[in-house]
Amino acid sequence: MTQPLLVAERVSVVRGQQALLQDVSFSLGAGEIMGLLGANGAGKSTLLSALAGETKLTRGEIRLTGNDLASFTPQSLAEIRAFNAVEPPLAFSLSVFDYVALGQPFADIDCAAILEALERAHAKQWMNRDAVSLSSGELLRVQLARSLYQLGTAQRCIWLLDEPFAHLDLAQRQFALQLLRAVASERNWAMVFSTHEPRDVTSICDSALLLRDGKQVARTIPVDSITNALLTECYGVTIEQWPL
Amino acid sequence: MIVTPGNRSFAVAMALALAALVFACVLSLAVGTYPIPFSNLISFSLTDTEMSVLSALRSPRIAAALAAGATFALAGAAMQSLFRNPLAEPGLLGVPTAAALGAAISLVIVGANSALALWPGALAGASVSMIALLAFSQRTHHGATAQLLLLGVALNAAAAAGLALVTAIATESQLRTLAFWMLGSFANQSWSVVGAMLIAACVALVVLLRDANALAALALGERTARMLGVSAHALRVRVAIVSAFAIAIVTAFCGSVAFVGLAAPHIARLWVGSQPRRVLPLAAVIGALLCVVADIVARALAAPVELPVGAITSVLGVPVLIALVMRAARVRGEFL
Repeated sequence: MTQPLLVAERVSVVRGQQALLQDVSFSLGAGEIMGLLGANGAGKSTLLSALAGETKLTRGEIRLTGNDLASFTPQSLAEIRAFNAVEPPLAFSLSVFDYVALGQPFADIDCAAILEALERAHAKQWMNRDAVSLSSGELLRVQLARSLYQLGTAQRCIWLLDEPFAHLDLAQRQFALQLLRAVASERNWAMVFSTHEPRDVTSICDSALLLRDGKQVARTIPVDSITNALLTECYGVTIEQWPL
Repeated sequence: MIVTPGNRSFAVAMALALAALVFACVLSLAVGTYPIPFSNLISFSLTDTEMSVLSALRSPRIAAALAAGATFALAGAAMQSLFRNPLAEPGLLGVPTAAALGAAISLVIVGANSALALWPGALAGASVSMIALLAFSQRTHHGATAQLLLLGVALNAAAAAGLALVTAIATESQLRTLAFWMLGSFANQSWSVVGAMLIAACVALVVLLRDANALAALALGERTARMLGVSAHALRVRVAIVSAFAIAIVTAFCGSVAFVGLAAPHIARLWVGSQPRRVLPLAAVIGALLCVVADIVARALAAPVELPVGAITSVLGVPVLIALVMRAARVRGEFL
């Protein structure tokens, strides 16, 4: 049996007196997508940040491809892990082509790979446009292209996304969801994304992790077992309309 | 070089800027209190007097202008990328003001008797501010560019206050000497000094170009840059120290040449986009060009009186920058 790509064991993050994450554990195999659900402040972004190697763990361990996350250098980690989150506005004009090229800042520019990534994210038509002029939905597609270029066609990578669909309309959301699903299957990438929409999870994810106040409400459950009762427990308010 | 959409315009821009720089250097050799005919320059049929004017006075002066312009432009471009702020410039880290304080102390308190004798004090002042910068950078947390910026503001304020205190007890003639040094000049430089400045400019160019792609990734924010494999903390320390070091050497000998560090990177950016691997070399050439042209104007405009070159760089750079900014805004439809 192949070893899991991403393993989190009793991951805890404490800042001051506040426990942001407590004993979160899960494992994810190649080609699997996990959705993170939880109210604002539940610990979704903290977990993604810890998985990305950005937030220091107070306790527990995270392993990528069998290796301790702490053993990676920033550059070696960037070769197998991409991370998408809200970014500050650009300070200077930058063409979309150059923006995507920054996915691999230390490598020679691979024009064909950049164009392929842009094509895959349906963003090639903007390649000569100033990235500053893009709408937030358009910019998200360019950011997805940047991550595709960052990891290239390598197999068994990890893609983490913090609320990637927040600014997308219905059609764009469907396109982005399908893109993630297709890439995960083709390239055997493991993916974790957070969202406030349970339907995003049920439409493409293999499993879900529900968080409340930094603790697991439900651990890597199959997505068809998300119920009103579980969502009620996760969000702390009575949820009656799920599934729609 | 790989042909990407931006690289074509970069090659054209670089060729034009270098051609303008070569022309400005030749013009600078010819113009001055003792004019040398172009025909003599081009045919290399120079008299002994012309030869000694060129080798002892004009050549080191042009080399100093090249080194100073390139250094200020490189440091400005690097600071703007590092701080993700179009208003950033070399003065932001407090090094030129600290150099001015050192120069003022050596003039007023130690008793140096001419503008040429101010450099040891200026170098000492700049070095102290660099060491403070380095010590602070080593202690800052990841993602602390704003803290580094604040330290620069604090150093600037402290040095400016010190400068105000020292100049308060200066004599009239000391004030005049200091004012002229602070406005910058490329005159009366020895080849050993010019050599040090050229080495500083080359070191800055090599180190910053090596970090160009990492600086480019910083455009996306420090967090994203780290996610793309950039060691943001080490990058910040390296870029700040190299820039401060080069600025310290140039400022010590030439004074603070205003506006080049702000204008040259913007002119380069408006021409070839924001990728530091294109902006850094082009800004260096444009900075050098601005300084060589400013030096010609400073010598020629009110000859035999020599005007302060820092004032001329501003006079030349401001309209160019305003014109480019307005053109760029018009292209984007922000101006009628």
